[in-house]
Amino acid sequence: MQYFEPNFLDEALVLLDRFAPDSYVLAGGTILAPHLRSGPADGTLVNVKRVRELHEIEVESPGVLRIGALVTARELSENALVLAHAPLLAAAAGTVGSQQLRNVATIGGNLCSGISSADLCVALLACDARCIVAGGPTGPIALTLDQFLNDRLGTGSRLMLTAVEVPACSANTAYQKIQVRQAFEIALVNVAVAVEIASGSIARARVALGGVAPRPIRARNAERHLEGKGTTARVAQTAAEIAARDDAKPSTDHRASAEYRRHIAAVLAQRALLAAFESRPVGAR
Amino acid sequence: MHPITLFANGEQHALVVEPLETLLSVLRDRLRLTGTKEGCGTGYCGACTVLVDGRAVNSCLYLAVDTDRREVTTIEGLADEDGALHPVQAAFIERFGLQCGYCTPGMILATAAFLSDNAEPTARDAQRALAGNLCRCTGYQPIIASVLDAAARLREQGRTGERPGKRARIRSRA
Repeated sequence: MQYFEPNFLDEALVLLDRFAPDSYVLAGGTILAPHLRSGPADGTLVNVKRVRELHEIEVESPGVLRIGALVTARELSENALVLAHAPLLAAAAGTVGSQQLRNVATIGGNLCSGISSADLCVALLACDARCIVAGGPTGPIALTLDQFLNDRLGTGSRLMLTAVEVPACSANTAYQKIQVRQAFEIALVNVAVAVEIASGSIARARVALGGVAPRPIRARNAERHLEGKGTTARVAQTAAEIAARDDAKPSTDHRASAEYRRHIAAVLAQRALLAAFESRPVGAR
Repeated sequence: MHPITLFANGEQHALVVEPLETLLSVLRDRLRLTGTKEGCGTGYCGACTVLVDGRAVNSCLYLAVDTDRREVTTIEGLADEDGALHPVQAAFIERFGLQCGYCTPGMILATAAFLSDNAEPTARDAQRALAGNLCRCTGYQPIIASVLDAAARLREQGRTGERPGKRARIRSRA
């Protein structure tokens, strides 16, 4: 196994390109390192931790929070900018894995993990986050998280996720997950909700679901049902039923049956919507 | 092979490590700090928990290359300079927060890191903080009692917020 520690992003991208498809970006390493140790031991490991900009959290332009790909779950759960601009993301980050994993696991790794109930990924879908992907022929590009999840950067890609941009919104938000233990378990199903409420009715709704499809998804049918409606318990219940019936495409695996996942999706979506209706919007403090 | 300098329990070590070599393997096999235990080797059980710059990590997942110029604290380095046990160690003994002892070094280090951030935890806080540390003997009740007792000892001794472990003589990378 070859190993590099580039100091600059451009260097890292050259290395990834030169040694693709056997080049790997090393971030927190909690997923990649055990994976590589159990497989063939050749290839090129590009440890990007010396690239300073990948660690930064900043308000890039008015209303856009830019989070470097190496920011850890722990930093997301504690950082003042994240708590102020994206409390939904901070809330989800506080529930990732264990204390030990939150100290190490990164936002970039969470988005590239391919886990269908990845906590940060589900929260960021509801935030309309964009992914900045570098290494393409035309320089860095911004993809919606939805596009990013479709194109999924596997290991060995020449491209690299360098940052996540979260647009400011004045939404009420909530995050709900269910797991076998109450902590340190991959969510069976998780739901993130962001609703913008204007004079008592829902102007804009985002409902993201994890664990009910091969990748985290937006519940677009539920979102359409919510928009224009009032923030009532009846609306929450119907939208949650639509999300579970029309948006969720769960399958059975060793952890839960498709039927159970669909049932829980409705329960959690309803809880999350009710909590969001009751919550205070970002910025209203 | 890659050169690193790590500070283990305040002592400086210059090492050449393999890219995928874990911190656990460096601590046990090279530095002979065998107080750190390997359990699952995949980040689920927490037996291998050590502190890197004061924060709890699974040393079975943490790569040695990432410890360059960092401070690593193992169970061997937690006691005070004069040999007096750290309040978390003393509390685990007093409250019988262990039986076979295999998970204990990890439990104690995870507790020390958690209490440096939370001086007045509830039992619920303690359970959440130790969710990444499995114990197959105790049923956890004496462990949670030990954590709460340790928090009280730290408060009584005016040591809340103190970063656990010995400091290296050279400042580590930010």
